[in-house]
Amino acid sequence: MAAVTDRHARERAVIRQVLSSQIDEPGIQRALELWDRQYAGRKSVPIIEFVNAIEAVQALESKARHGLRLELYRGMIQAAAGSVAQAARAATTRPSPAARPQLDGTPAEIVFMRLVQHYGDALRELGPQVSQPFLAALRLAVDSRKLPAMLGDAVATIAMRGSVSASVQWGNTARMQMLAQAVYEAACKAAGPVAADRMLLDGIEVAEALPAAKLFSPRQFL
Amino acid sequence: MSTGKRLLFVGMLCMPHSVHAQDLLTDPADLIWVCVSAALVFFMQAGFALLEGGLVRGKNSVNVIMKNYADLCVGVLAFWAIGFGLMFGDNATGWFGASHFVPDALTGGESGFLVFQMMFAATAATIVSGTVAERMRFAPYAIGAVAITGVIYPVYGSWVWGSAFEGSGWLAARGFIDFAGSTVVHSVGGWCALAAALVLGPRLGRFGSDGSVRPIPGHSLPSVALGVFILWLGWFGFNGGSTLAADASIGPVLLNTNLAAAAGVVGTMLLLAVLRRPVLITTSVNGALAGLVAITAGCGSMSPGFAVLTGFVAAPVAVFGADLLLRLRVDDVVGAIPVHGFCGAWGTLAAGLFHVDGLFQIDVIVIQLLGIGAAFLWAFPLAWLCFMVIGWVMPLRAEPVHEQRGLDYTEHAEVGYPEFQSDLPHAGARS
Repeated sequence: MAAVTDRHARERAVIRQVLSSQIDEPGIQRALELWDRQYAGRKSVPIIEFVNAIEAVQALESKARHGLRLELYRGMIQAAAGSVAQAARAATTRPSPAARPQLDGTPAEIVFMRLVQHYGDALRELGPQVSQPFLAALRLAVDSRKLPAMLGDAVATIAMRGSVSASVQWGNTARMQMLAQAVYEAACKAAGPVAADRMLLDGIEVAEALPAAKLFSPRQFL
Repeated sequence: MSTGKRLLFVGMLCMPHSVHAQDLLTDPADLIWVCVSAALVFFMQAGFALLEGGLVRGKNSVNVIMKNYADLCVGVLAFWAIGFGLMFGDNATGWFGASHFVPDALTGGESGFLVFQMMFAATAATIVSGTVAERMRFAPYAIGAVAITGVIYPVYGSWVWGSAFEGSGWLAARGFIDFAGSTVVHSVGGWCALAAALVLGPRLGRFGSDGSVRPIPGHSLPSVALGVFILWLGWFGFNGGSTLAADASIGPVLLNTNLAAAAGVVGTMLLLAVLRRPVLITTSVNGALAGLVAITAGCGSMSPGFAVLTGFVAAPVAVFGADLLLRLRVDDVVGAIPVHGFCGAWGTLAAGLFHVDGLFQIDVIVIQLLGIGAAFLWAFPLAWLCFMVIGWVMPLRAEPVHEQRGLDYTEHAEVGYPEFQSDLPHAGARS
């Protein structure tokens, strides 16, 4: 019960942090009340629905609406596992490929995360009209493979932010293969099969340049 | 001439297949011509393989060509065992033949006729492979091909071209005109393809959630162009051989065939220019096929001018038909449904509209429409049911990961272009 309450507090902190750049204080209060009433404690949080509900009482430009969704999504992933400060920071820190953090883990995990990073870079280049459907499709693809939702969230975080908490337990190679397939499927649905094929093949090429690739071939994710 | 006599006369002119077997191909010249034509129609399989193989991504090329081989082989066997009897066996009811199953004591002429008809059956089946490319598994496809060549195609064929022995088909008796199979072969194949496409659904990512269409270009357009040239060549056997006689009637048939194909291409290019769309080779060569399919019904009963008109009209039928399917989110990889299904229907109607013995005869047109509708009502629901049943027994559709890896590798464990496809698991560790 304490854990749930703690998570609830972190989610509220994320919402406040994210909305403060777009909405005035009464609007934030209304959003928090809405959250408490309809969404808090739910296993799977429909961020798109939540932002649409906010928009019903507070006009938002489409670009701002998209930004809110992405930031809330990132923040909620962290809120489910991390601290308030970490969650708020995750929600408002922009990814920077140039300053991409070092990837830690086993060779397979490093290669896998680099591959997902490449998908994320390519998807963000295509704009929000692609990256947002990608996140929705990724959730469905992960669910359909009966993989833990937390892993799907972690993959989404890598794709959108470039890194994820080192505490994520990716599991064995087979599980990472399934996750890589889910990423490909989501990229197919969001960007089309030709673009997804290119992302996959370029990502494999990029991952092959890693020292870890000498110990674990990225082609195992094909 | 009364309407009944006129229809009988038209039927005799336009249905050489309904000649009884004892009168069939007794002249050696006729037999040689039909056998050469059978070889030309066989060669069309190579055209289909190149066309379909080129229009898919490189990672699926082996799979679609394997399907072409498979439907030919299982189709030939199924047609010999069941289809020929259903289509050309004694037909007392008018609805299907009921003799000559697994025929093993045919005369020379009958054997040549059977070979020619086998190739037609295989053509009807192979139309489906292009539509379902890149996502349908190999084994269920082969089973579907057996159903098409063994039952769906021959039963409809018996209505129009049966019987070669005793009796007649109910559409043949009414004077339905389909000289070489715009409806019997092409529309039936097209409607089967439509059913398969609806059961399977589109390729992964083909349509965006906002309804947008994502182009998935083929990997070898030279193959596509060569494939259509081969098909065009084979069509001279397809239509020319349907005279079943080595006589002067071949000339007008081949002339009309050639004119309609050319008109189909020119019509497509002009249409694309008028619509301010790029003049794509894929669309243009499909225009040739549209013209060829359309003229197949009326190539023996139409003047050359109307053959050109038939080919021209087939162009917008194919182009706008493809647009319609995309709007309905039906994923037809090679455009077989508009080319074979829609243009087959148009060509069959045109055969009634532009008949050399009288233009726009309402009674002929009504019968043509009846035959077109009967083909759809027979082939589409039955094929849909057939693919649904196969899908209950075994997975019809490839897994998303198989679409990712390509069906060449996942279905056949080999790739079409090993020098270039270094992205496949062969090149690295196996998963």
